Amino acid sequence: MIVLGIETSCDETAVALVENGLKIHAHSVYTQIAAHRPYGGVVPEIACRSHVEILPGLIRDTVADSGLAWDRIDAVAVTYGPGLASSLLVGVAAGKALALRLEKPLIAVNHLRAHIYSLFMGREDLSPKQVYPLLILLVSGGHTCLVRADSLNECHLLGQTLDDAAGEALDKGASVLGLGYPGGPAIEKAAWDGDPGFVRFPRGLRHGAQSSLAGSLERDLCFSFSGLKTSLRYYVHDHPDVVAGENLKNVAASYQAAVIDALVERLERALARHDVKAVACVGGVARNQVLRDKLTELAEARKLPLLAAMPEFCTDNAAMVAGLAGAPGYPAAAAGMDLDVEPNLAL
Amino acid sequence: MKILAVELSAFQGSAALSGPDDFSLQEVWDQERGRHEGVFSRLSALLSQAGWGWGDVDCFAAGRGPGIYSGLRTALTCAQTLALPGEKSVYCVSSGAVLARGASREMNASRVAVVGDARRSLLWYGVFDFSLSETDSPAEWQMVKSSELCARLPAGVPVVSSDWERLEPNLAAQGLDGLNWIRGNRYPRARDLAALVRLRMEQGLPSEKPVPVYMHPPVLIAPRFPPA
Repeated sequence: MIVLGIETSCDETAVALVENGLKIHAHSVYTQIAAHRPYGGVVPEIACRSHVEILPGLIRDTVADSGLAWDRIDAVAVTYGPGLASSLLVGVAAGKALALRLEKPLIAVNHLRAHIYSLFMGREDLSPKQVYPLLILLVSGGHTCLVRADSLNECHLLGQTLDDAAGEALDKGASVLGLGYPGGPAIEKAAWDGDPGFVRFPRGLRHGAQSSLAGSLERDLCFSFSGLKTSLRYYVHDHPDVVAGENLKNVAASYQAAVIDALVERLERALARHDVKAVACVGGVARNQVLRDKLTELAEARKLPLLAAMPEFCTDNAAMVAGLAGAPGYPAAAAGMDLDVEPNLAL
Repeated sequence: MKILAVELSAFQGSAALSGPDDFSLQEVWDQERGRHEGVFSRLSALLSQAGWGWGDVDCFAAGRGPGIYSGLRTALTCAQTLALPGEKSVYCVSSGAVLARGASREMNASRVAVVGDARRSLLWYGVFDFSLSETDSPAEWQMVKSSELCARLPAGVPVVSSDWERLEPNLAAQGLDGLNWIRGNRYPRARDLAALVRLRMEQGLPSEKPVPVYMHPPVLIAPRFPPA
């Protein structure tokens, strides 16, 4: 089964053709980073306008790259949430139009579940059957959560951020430090040989007390980065020379360490409570080498394999969308033409 | 030439098929809320009503506004994506031109102004002059404070809007009652869009760029990190 996937939930326009969930015939990602960089973060209206201009041509070019004829496509899959409403709208409109035109089923895909499936993209050696149950840290510019997956279709949310996503905290931190956008790579680069213990920034929600914000989730498996951002802002206010001085690398390393420690602490806590066969990390922040090193240490200490999405599939892409929709065993139900976007779609 | 046209710039949307021998079929619907997501199921129904298959359509047309952003994006994305298999043609026209052409005929007037709500206390408008050509009369879209609209429009020019029911009383309440309104909301129709596309294509005129007519820049604040 060959699925054409479309992903436009944020600021990447992406199209892919994937066969039986794993074999990638073609995948293309158009990134809008240059357009958003002057504003230090994703501007929804810029993102949406770009999707309108780019998506139809990207679909045409990706199908051409695949060498497949249009009539080889068995289904069209599209991300319908969560994400930016105006951006999702463009992808969903294109998905519906293509499914109509080809007279093939339209499959609505949850962006978060697609990210989890990105573990398997580009890894034809890795079968989804081998790895469950699995504990996953999903960490990106828009989402930060801990998920226990018992199968391709059984995912349980264990914890999530109560305010900002980790990637967003890195973007804002980089902005405060004048390091540019996107913040994750900028901070990682600036922090390269810095001292992560130079400033002790807060890790947030370290204790297990109840919180109405966490709802039914265990609070000490949830994340909060808003206090960390405020702490950095006050630090820079009190030490204005740091942005241009030699301690910039130390402050960047300290800030990055606070974000990563918060992520790893929760994962470690969750591992103590859940019996799993493997631990995994997906999403754009999973490209951070310091995070990968810490997760490797944690997995080795627990004698568990660490599965990390290939860097190419960490950021938003359509291969994970088409892959999940066409994965054997995944109950991909056909959506109707009345499908609407769901910006706040839960896992 | 068989044309499938989609016009979603206003709260009343429409889709139409236009074929040889003056064949045409249109469906119109209200979409007070939402994003015109219902257009897709209506397209299938129209095609089967006409006995056409997707491969029979030669050209996919869409109105590009000005109007409701989500509707324009849906229409333009829809037309362009439908055209991909088989490399069919795409033709886009300003929805305002479609509305103005209809008003020009109705009022037997060579000049017509199209007006809409640009939000942020502004109106958008364009004046179409059909005295030289019925099909090639692009208006330059402008924005203006409501209090200045009368002074900007040529005296006595008929004014048409898909938002008349809201704009007319608001302007009248401000004492701006000197406009020559065509009374009632008038909506650009997909059938008229297809007719205009057919005429323009016959005259060898190119499609307008397949992006919405945006009346505002995407960002109104200065960039924090301006490019060097």
